[in-house]
Amino acid sequence: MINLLFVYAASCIALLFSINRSNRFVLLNAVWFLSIIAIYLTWLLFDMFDESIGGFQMIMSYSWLPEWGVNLAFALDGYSLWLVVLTLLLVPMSAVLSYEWIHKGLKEYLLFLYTIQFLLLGCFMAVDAFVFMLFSEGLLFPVYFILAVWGLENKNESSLWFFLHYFLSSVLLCLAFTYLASELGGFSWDLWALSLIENKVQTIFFIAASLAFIMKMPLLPFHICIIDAQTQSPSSLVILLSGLFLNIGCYGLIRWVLPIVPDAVSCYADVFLYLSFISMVFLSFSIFYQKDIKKFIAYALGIKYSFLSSCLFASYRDHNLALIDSAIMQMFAHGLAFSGLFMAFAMIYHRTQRRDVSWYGGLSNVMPSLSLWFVAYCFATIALPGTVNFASEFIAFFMLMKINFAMAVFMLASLVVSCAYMLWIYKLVFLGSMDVDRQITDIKPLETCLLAVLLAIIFWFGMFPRFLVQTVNNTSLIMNNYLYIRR
Amino acid sequence: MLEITLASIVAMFSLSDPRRQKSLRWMAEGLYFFCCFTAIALYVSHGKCLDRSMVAVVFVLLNTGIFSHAWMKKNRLLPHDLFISSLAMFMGFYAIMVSENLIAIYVSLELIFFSVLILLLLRSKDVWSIETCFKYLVLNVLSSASLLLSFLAMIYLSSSLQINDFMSYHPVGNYLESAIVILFTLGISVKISSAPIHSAMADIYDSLAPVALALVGILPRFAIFVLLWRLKNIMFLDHVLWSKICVIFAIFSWCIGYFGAIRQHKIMRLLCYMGIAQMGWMWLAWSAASVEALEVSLNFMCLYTLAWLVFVTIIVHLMYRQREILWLDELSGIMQSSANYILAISLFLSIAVMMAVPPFIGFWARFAILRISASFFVSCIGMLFSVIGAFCYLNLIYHAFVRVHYYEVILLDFRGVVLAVILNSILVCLSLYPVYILC
Repeated sequence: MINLLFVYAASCIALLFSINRSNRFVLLNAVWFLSIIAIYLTWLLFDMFDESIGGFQMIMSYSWLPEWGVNLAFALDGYSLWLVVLTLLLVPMSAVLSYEWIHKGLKEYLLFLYTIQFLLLGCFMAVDAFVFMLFSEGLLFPVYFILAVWGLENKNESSLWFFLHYFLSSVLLCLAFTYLASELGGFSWDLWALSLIENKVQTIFFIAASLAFIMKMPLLPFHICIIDAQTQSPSSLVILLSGLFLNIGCYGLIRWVLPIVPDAVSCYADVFLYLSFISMVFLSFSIFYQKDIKKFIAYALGIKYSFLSSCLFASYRDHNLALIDSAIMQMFAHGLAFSGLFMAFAMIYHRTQRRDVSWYGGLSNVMPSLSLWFVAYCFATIALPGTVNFASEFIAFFMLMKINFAMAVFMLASLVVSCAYMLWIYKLVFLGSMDVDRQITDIKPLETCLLAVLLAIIFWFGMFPRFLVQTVNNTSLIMNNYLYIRR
Repeated sequence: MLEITLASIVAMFSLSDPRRQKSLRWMAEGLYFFCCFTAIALYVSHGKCLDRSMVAVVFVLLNTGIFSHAWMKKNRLLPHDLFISSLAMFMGFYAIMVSENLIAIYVSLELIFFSVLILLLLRSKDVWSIETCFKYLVLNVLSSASLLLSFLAMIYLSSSLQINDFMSYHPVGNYLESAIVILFTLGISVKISSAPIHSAMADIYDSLAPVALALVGILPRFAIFVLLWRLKNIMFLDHVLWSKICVIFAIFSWCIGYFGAIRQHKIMRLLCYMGIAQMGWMWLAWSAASVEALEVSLNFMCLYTLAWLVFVTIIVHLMYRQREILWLDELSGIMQSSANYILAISLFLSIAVMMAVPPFIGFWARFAILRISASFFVSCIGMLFSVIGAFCYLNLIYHAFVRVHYYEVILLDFRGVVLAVILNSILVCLSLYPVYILC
């Protein structure tokens, strides 16, 4: 199955490369064709995945550099399955919408987009640290080019800072992985998970790698470059940045840091826990000063990821399996909800070419359909009961209250504030009356379909989370077993 | 094979006739490329069986071949001076590889550098170029003096002129051994144009024609590598001092190279400073004071040279408003001349390899240095400095691929681009299966 996924990803690039760049219609047909294959592959993935097995499945491993302990090894488990599904879902959506939104250089744009897909699949499925690093750092150039060429008004500056920020995190990650691999003699996840590591090595690795992964998330003080990149990115890239890119940082922590160095986590997780808490509070206050709607949504995403990272560090510090499960579920949920929200706003932006809040008002008079979808996604992001976001965040709060009641209360307050600002932004943009008569068309059937698909998935897993919870929980139990074996 | 090459060059020179320029040119090109690709094939198939110094000479041939091809195509000249200099350099390389006498090795090294100097003087474009050549001469004379002193000390220590006697010398920990290490490292630091004694290099890069630049930028570094390969024992005379000096030079090179490159707007000056920074990684590799370190440094040098060659080959074959491309701004028309994917991908790959970003082969080579370096802390410093280097390379990428420009950049000779593509293919293949170059 993993072979099939890579063949599909590589074929996407090859197919698009062979099409003449002036033939937009053929490009659109190709994108639709690839999207149908992606849907089929997603179905096949669910069909072949055994939810009762918590460990790695569908393992593909080739010896690559045995002298260095590097194997080309890929596998899926309950953690990576959902991120792969998210990739197969969001990339085709972005590609389809790019036809509407990108007017110049569509072929090149789609090539970069599908290169990102290939690299994301490799990143989420890698079970060798070196291979993970290659794929995750390889994302740098496609994202840079999309941002620099197709970005918005401040694209030059934001692409440069994004590149340097991401490169710096890559350097830290490379150093951390090299250091641990030189101590343990290889890069395999099994080797790292089962080895007894000295406390000093654990500490150095934990600090360097955690910093590297946190820099890929919009946490204080690293939030500026990422939020700026999200604001200046073209709309279809923002969907991927919000849904998948930020998850690389979380996934990296869950896969490559927290289960590997449990002693260091017990000692030093508090630092990152409080950093996440401060980030959440700071971003909650900062969001009210934002005048740019895209930046507003990016800050809201930052708040959610601050909460997610606090769950991660708290869960591994206290070995709370339910909290780990909720963190994975949150990654999946935020990937769906915020991608949908950015998508909905992008549909407005491409009609009006304005992002400032002051320009809007009473949009529901001219776009009643979109206003409904927008509010639905707003409710999804604020974890309305019935959505997968609620399922994930409810567990998280319940567990956090057991760990640190005061912090949980503050976080709950921040999330209540998040409800306020989401509803506030909806009111400013959609409700009331329009001062000026604006000729804006409502969304098209294709756009409605795409919004409906994502929302349906959000509510489906909100109502019937059993499969999601079971797969994640089984993997968490296996991870826990690794810790017991090591002790 | 090397003897065949040298004999052929001598034959060509002696048979050269102004009426038969075209046939001689084709013979020269064919011979260069035959030798280069045969040697690469030998290296790939035999791996470690091929002497590392031979690999260095392969790259020397490749380097000179490419540029002589490019230069002759552009200028329609039969460059006798280039042939003479090449002949002298190859003889110097050959002599370093086969000599058993320390004085002979020293003289061979000087033969290489003097032939480079003569070429620089002959290829200088104006008075300023000649001035920079004299700066280069003075620096090299001082470094040669330092090297000569170290060689004399080696002879005194081993009580023999024979290299085998020096190689079998066991260090006893006296001051003379430390003095040899200091003098030797000072001497070679100038030869390879690393900081802190690099002052003339940026001006030299700026003032010279590309074919001479290829010789100045690449050949001396390979010559020093071959020298180190022959005189491995010098690292062990006082390995602690050797490591410390290498680390100091590495840090200096990174500081000056990376920070110096930030403000550069001319392409060749930017490449010069980035070359100085890359030498920092060579010094870091040498600080490990082992044979493996020398091999790793050679691999790094070869890959960097390949990428550098691709980049400069493309630049040399492009014309901007009826003249060569000199400034970063002038790169901006590359993508607008035609939607030439092959040209764009080749240029991008070469920059990405020099930048050492995964998953390209440049990253593997740098990773190999990180693995064997003596000090992980210093490696961390180097990696953090490389973020500045990334900014400089990103500047190149921005100007070439992102920035919109109004003047068209014209491709002068498609054959040069074909050559760049062939070299790039080698880089891509090595990225996918790096075992040949790394282990």
